[in-house]
Amino acid sequence: MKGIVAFTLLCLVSSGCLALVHHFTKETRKENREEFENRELEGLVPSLSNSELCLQGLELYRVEERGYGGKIKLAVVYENSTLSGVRALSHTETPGFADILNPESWISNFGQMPLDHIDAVTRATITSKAVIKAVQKVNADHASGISPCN
Amino acid sequence: MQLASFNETALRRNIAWVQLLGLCPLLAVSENLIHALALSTASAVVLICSAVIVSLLRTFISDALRLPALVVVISTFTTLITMLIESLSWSLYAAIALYFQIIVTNCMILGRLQSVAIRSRLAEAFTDAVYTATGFLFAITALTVARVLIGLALPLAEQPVGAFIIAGVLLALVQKVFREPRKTSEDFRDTASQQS
Repeated sequence: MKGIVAFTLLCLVSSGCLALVHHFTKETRKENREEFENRELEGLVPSLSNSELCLQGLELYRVEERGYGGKIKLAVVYENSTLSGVRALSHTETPGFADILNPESWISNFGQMPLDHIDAVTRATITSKAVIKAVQKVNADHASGISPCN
Repeated sequence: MQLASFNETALRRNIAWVQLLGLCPLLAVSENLIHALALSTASAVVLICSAVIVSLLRTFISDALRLPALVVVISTFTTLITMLIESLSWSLYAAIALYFQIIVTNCMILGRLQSVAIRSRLAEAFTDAVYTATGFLFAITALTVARVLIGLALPLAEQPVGAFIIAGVLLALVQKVFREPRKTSEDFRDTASQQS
């Protein structure tokens, strides 16, 4: 009985500590994440504001898809209504397998060849299929007229 | 419990090279000295804090709930330190977040808490945790330095394959230096004849 009470207290105290630290670091962690994602975007689009991009004929979609290790956040860009590039903003895929998400690697195929010519990658099947699925989803939205510019 | 000396804990019975615990992060982050130091510092903080808490609570932790209690303590500190790193240095977090998160499964920490902290007084548990963590730091630094230096001439060393090979060689070296010579059948016969 004493053990159960102590264990319950231990769990309460530890969740309390986690909640406290989570609360106090929430803002900085969010800022850090956004700063990082924006830096990733810089190679893809000239500006981060949707209105400026739309004036230049660029449409920037952000999409999330479940990969192997959690959510993969992607930015999908259309230039004059054709797919011009995809960038991974954040992910928690297993290191090594996630190399296909580096800007210069497999993911750079998007925009360079037709979407249905891009195959999943052996050894990173789930990650690559998730990216393809997300881009297809955006593509369907784009085709049906849903755009960040409207 | 008798506290082992620094030499004994950190070198002769090094947690990684002799006891073969905590090898997963050791192999994973040893391609870069900053990552290696960051991960071993984070592991050290988790180990030392957990050892202190577990030692303080050791009379309250019942046998049946020992493992869940230890895991709660370790995972709390792991999550705390992951959140802190996420808010302090995003670039570090982005590079090796996964390995920070899996400190929770590092068998070095659970092993040390189970074998020492839970049956030691505060000072002993703390000292043992510091010694063990230092040993882990030595191990990971040695592997990283070896990989980086050999990698200058032989790029294979920076690949995961290279990590395994170099780790194997280091392991053999440490065992050779620190292991007591194995007793041969002659030695056993000698002791047997002395006893009779």
